[in-house]
Amino acid sequence: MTRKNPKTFEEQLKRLDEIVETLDSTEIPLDKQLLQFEEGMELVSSLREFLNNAEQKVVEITRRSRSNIEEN
Amino acid sequence: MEKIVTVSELSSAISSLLAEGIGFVLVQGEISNFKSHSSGHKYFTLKDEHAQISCTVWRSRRMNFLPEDGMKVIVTGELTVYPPQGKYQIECSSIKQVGQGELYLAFEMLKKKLEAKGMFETARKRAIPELPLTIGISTSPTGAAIQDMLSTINRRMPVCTIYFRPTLVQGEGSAEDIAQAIDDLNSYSPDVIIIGRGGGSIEDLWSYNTEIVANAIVCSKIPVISAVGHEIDFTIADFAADMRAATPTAAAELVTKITQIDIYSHLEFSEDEMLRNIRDTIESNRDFILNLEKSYAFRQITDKVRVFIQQTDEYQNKAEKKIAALIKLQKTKIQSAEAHLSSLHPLNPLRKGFAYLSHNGEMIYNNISLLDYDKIKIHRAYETASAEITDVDNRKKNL
Repeated sequence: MTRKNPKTFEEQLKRLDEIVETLDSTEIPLDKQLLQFEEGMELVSSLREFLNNAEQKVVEITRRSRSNIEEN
Repeated sequence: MEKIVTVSELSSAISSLLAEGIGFVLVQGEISNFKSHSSGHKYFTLKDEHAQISCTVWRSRRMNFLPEDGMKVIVTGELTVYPPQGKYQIECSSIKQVGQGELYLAFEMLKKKLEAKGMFETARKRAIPELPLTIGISTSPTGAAIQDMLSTINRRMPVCTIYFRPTLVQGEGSAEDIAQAIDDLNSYSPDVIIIGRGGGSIEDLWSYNTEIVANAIVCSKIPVISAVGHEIDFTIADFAADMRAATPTAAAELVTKITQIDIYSHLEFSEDEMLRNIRDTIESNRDFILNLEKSYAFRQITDKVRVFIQQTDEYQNKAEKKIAALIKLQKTKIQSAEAHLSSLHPLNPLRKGFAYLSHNGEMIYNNISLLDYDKIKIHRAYETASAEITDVDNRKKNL
């Protein structure tokens, strides 16, 4: 299981939901549950940090061109 | 030409020229930019492909239908001048509907054509991602639409990155530019694309009623939301797009269905849920252990231990008894051995009347003849006597 660091924000959210669901079912042994709990808490804090540091970024792109000017 | 007139004088001269020279007219054209003012007066533009004329309908005029943009009508009225703006207009006395406007017909024909091609099929529509973090936008850089969208997205989901492609939204070359914009935005691979503009007349929105735009939407690899005009305006782009939004602001809301606040509260919920679960687990594990301690099975173990202890005690008792018995047995054995031993004492026969002889304190054994002695001692059980050897009868040797 090397799923510890899902790349995108959405994947991280999905992984978090998975963990919450698994913990809810309590079918797994305590030590594994603790591992999942730890991973889940790490996800919560990294997702929160991502949102906290976010600022709207507007990239203006021009016709038939990949060069861009960053604004805002 | 030498005579100098005022603007008002000239305007009034034009007015009488128009009234006398043209006067009442019957004009056929298409209604555009229809506006019903709060005063009750109505204003619109009557047009064909090459020209347009302003029209007014005073409140007092009754109309047997509600004029709409794109309607083909025959207007009856008087050509007048409106001096404050220096423009001429038809003051309508009646408006007759000729049938649906040509633009509307063209729209209907294109719609049918593309429909037949399957371009509006629900099956080919892509789902709009629930949580798009990169959003492509094609709209005019000057209209209110872009500001509305940026501020709406920034308010709801500031974490989003916007790829904005300033686009010609009306006039010549606008349809091509919109199609190109969709293509350009595709190369940035945003999660979703919004093409849009604010409301306007059917002519203003016309670029969004073209096949080239519809094709670009259908060919886009990224889901496209069409947000053209205000609520009532439907365009070909709306039908071809993966989703239609009534206004640009509504489109911005659609792509931020999940807001940052929603995510924050979801994170909080997840955190609480995990904490609650882990606490519950620990608690229930503790209860389990406590219950186990109290359980019959666990008590049985201590009971068993007790039985073992008791049994051990019993075994010990038994063993001790056995050992004691053994010791006793050994003791009696020793006693009888003692008795036997004492019975074997060499002086024991003396008690039965036997005697032994000695000379100078040494016992005289059978292998020595008494001939060798003159005086000896005779030992009996309770007395000792001295004796003198006078005669030895050597009758039997080695008795």
